[in-house]
Amino acid sequence: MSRQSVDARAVAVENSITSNVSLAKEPTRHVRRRLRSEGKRGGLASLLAFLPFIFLAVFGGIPIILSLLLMLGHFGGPNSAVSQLGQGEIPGHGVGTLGAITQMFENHAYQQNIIATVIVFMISGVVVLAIAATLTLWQRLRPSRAMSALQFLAVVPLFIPVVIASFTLWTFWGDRGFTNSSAALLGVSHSLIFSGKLQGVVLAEVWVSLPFAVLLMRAGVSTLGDSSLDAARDAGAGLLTVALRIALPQLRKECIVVFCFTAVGVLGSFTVPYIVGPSSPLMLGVDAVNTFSDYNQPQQASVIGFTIFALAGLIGAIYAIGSRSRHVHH
Amino acid sequence: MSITSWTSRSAARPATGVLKVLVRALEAILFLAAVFFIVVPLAWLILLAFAKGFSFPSLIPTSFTLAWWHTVLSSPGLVHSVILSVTITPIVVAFSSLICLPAAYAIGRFEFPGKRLVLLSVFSINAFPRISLYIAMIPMLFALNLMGTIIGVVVVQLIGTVLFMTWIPATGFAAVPDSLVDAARDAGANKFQVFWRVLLPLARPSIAVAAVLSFLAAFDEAQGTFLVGAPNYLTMPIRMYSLVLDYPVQFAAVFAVVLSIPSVALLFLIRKHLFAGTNAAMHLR
Repeated sequence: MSRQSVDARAVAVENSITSNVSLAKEPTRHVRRRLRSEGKRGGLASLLAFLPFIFLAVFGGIPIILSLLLMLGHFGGPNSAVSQLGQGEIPGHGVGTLGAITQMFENHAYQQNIIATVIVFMISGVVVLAIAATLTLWQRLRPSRAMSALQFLAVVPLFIPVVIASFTLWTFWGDRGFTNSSAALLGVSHSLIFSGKLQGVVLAEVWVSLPFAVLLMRAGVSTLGDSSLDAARDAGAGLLTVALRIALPQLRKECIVVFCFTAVGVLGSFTVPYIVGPSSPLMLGVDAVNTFSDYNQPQQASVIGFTIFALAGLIGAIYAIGSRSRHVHH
Repeated sequence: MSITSWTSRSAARPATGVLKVLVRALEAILFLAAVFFIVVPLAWLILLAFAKGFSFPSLIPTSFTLAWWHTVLSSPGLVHSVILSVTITPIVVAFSSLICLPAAYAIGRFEFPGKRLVLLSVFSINAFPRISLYIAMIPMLFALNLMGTIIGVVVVQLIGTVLFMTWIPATGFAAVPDSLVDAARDAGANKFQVFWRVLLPLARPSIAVAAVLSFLAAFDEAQGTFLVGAPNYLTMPIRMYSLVLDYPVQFAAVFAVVLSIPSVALLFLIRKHLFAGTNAAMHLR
């Protein structure tokens, strides 16, 4: 997962889950007058507007359907090419077979991988949200040079490609790395190694996810009015109370977006767990690639792909529930 | 909404006595923690790239050398990766522009049937976890005989640029004031002249930002390229995968530093627009 794809998803996930409708408003705000001044409905330009849609349908939409058919054991038609190299395939007739799915889910290692993936994306999401909210609210309520420098630092990983970040953190937290060397120099008896462990994956995912979360929270925090914060303080509320009771509830939407975006990013990541993570249990992204590339099992890989989709649906549900209860509040 | 604006209109009040000292201390601890978590690893990477001897548990190299740089820069495989990356990425950006910029113009300036469908497709494709999307693409790419081809690699990298190339320029085109367009029309400009002389120049910064972001997205894309292009097309990020496993750590560190240069340089160049753009694209309220 490249950093920019993170950014892409950043804006994307957030925007798509936020609501395409409201975002679509931005470019169309003055459309009526424009219709008069530029005439027509764009003619050729609006036909060309469908190019991205067609591209994404051909290389995103249709493939998902084909992959679904492959998972259900349909090896004919367009799927015949990929299934020729497949091993251990379970063919389906009629509607299809759930054989590949049950085969995967009955596998103990696969169950462990799913659990590990869920734990990692949940913890990463919560940690990233906690850090981003703390940094931005702190600076909003009690600005200082230290905190503004801290926010700057939190955005630095944006500039580093994810492959590089993963490699760097892998050596830094490795057995001969900086943390372990420091521990040894300080006379700590047990080693301080995160590479090759799920803890390392969480830390590295936090590292690469932090910039977007901080940028997004910062945008949200900047919309907090002074008046409500001041009023609370005049009533004698402490900083912590203001942050938790007054500011945070107003940032509910940003919090949910940051959590969900981070969770989906971690769920769909490959590079970080591949380089930093353990060989068992595997994050599903790594498992999917291994299953396809090393074991030549495209059908089983598609099961993993759809498991990831399903978990993304779970995150989507968290988003839907979270943003719905916000309306109840107001 | 500017990123820095709120720091100045603070709602803060001076704390007193012990509390103030405690808060300052806590801030200092957090700051040092962030330095250790974010900056020190990067400094460590740069040190590694110049390290000759590195004996555990020393925190800095025992001696320094430029030999790794020479080895990396004279390794034919790695040089080939650099050339490959530098060749493929502009192709991706060019195709992305061809596909997305007309759409961005139409979305930004016109109301047409199906507009929401286009936007929905552009946004929702990015809501899919990336690796599972690539896995799902495999049967299709096999069917089209695109696995292990440069077209397949371009397609996989292009997916990650569509949102940038469509949405950011669309907001740029939309932000051009109607009064300017009207004025140009009144002065006798035809539709093409309005586009070429008014709309395009004013939307250019947003197109530039989108192009840079797309360039970096494609340049740094590793997992999809790995799945579709390897072993025929080993771009720079993919090389990192094998370097991590099979080479001395200093060797990989040098390559990592080289690979970071375009990202750091380009992002630094557009950082102001980038943050303003992200903020604009992110207005949730």
